[in-house]
Amino acid sequence: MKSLLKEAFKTSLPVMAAYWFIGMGYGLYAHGAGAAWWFPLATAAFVYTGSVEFLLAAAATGAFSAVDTFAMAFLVGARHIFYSVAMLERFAGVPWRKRFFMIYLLSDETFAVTLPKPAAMPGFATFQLAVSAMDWTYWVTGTLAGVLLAGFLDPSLLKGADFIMTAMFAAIFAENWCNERNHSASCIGLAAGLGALVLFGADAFMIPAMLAILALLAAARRHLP
Amino acid sequence: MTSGESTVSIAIAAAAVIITRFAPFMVFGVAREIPQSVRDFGKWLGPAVFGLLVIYCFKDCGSFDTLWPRLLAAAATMAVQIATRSMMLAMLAGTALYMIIVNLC
Repeated sequence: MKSLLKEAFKTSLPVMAAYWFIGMGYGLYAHGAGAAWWFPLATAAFVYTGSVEFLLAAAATGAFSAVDTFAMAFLVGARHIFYSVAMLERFAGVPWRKRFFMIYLLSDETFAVTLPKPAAMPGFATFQLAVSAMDWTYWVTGTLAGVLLAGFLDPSLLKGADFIMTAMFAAIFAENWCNERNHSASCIGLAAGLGALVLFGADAFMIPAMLAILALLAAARRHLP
Repeated sequence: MTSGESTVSIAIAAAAVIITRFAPFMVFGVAREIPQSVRDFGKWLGPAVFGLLVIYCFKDCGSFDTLWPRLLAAAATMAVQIATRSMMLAMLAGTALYMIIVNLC
């Protein structure tokens, strides 16, 4: 048990650095976007999907729309459907009291660092659960640090710090670009986004853009690697 | 949004992400039942969604004055990411550049 937790901690270390840094950036961003102090903490704990959280904070001072919020969170989070598909066999047979948290807390990064471990290893469920819990803790405490920092810092020092969201999406986009055998999927995302932005305007383009991405990926699937 | 509406928004978003994570476990027993074409789809959805999210960050850049600093700093972020493969370094460099530009220009 002790060695399992040690192994889990070692596995989670790269995530610790990333989550504290980006979590702090998220706390600062949400404050700058005008969200209440508890808003980034609640989204960090319960939504636990960075891209969706940033978009929620960006919309926190806008008008309330249940349909738009659901569609945005579902479509931007939809990649997790496929992470779960990849975990179906790995998590099979794990009791639900453990499996529930293993599934709920499966973030992009947790998925990436645990995937190399064989599901047949002794104590796999405990290991997976421990990494997930550690990563979640880094994310929530990082966000808390950002919220506290935003409260203490002079707002004029933070002019331009909202770029952290653009930086995160641009860095992930570039990382995906490096890992792709061809760039059709990345280009489809850019083109659908740009086209929908021009056609529908800044306040209404996300849902048409996601639908366009699904349609274009389906149409191009024979040509994708 | 009021506090109540914010709370409901968070609950709705949490429900949506829970559905994305749990649906395959509710619908399928094992991955073998899922056609390869559907699994391939998942590989492409991530890169495409982040392409859209990059565009999202530019949605309020209606004028050249607001567009060029963001475009320049985003290009710098991507260049550092491709050169170093370190997300933290790329985000720090891009954000620092953007903050310098908007504070000095």
